[in-house]
Amino acid sequence: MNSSNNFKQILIWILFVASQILFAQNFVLYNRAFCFVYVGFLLLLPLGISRNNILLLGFLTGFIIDVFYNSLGTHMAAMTLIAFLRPIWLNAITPRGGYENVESPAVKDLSLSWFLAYAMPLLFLHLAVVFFIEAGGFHMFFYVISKVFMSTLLTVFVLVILQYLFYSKGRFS
Amino acid sequence: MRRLFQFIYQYRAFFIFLLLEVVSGWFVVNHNDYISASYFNSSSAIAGNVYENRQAVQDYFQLAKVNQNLVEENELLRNRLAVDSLTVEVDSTDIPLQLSGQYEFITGKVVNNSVHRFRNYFTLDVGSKDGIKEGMGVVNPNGIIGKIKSVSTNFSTAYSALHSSLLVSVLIDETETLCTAKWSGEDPTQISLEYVPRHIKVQEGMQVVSSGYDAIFPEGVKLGTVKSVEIDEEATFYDIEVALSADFFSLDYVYVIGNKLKQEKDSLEQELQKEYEQ
Repeated sequence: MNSSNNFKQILIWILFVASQILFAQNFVLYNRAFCFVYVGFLLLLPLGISRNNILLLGFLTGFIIDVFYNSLGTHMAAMTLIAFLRPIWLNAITPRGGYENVESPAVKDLSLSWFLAYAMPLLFLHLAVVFFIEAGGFHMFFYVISKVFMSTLLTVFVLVILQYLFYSKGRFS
Repeated sequence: MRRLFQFIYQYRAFFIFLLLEVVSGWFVVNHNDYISASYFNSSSAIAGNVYENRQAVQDYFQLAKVNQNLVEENELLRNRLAVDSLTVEVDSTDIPLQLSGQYEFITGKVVNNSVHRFRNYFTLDVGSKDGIKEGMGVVNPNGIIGKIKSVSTNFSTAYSALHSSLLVSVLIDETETLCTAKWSGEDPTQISLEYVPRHIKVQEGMQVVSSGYDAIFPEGVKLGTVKSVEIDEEATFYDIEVALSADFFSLDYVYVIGNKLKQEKDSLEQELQKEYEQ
């Protein structure tokens, strides 16, 4: 990666984290669906990034979010987990034709259905870790699972909308 | 030995992953439930400032409501003053508790708040320079709000009453029953009462107030009214839900309560506890 590309990623990181803290944090539907849009940063990182770097990035992002959420450790654990699983999962669902000419796993480079198949399991896992740690165990299993499920749908919906708005072809790359 | 290093190098991503997860896990276990001075939460200078600026923008949209609340509280206090001046006799030597100076009230503004998580916190724009200390109680005109968790120079973070590990010692006002209020983690408008024995006759609509035994809140601060009462055939204690009188969805100005005699009370009770254990 060259330096202008790095700069672009830093800018995107700031935008994602800031929008999580300033807006998305208070965006809750029916006491069930939470919007954790900042996870999108990690999901949409370019494919060329090394496994160590993505782990450290996930850890750092989770840490910043935890400081603002007063939940030190929770988002760090969840982000580290999906940062570790992302390369494995990307390998497992390689689209037909591989990742040639694909810069990042986004809707514009692949397809909407591929993006949903890629993002939803990772988001589900992330939110499950966050909510179960927060609940402090499995004693409210079905309530928590319903929260996880609704939040996954809401977050993935917001992420897709954001991509159509900002990641459209030719504008950002 | 060389093969070991080779092995670690080959799977370095996995080992970094393990290391980071252990660090996170350590934070989860050791950090969250302790009342401790800590830089890594929303009372830190950076996070506090971000939240304060966000609140400064939101303030403009809440002005009318805040004003209304202040007027209502003023009216309440004026009415109470009118009643009190008749009842307090001049030659009485018995000073009411609230007037004796045991409790001091510090005004603060909520700059960040959450209600939908299992462990909810809020952030105040007052800190150690205003006299806030860890463990102080937080109330607003409608009732109990929470308890200070950690303090920095200009900001403080507090447990909301909607926090699954914050216990508040309360009384059912009509029957004088001592019990504990604890949030179950689901509905942000109600809280559960624990340890109400079955021989007490509890009815819907009874008032629940703080007991003052924990030396955090003064006696008689409102928590809410009993909303539903249930008991199983063989259970020792009731399942009681209380409708919270404070609206946690819109917190603005709050009072932090300092108890000057807390230390004295605690040290006295600790001595007793030690004797008892011997």
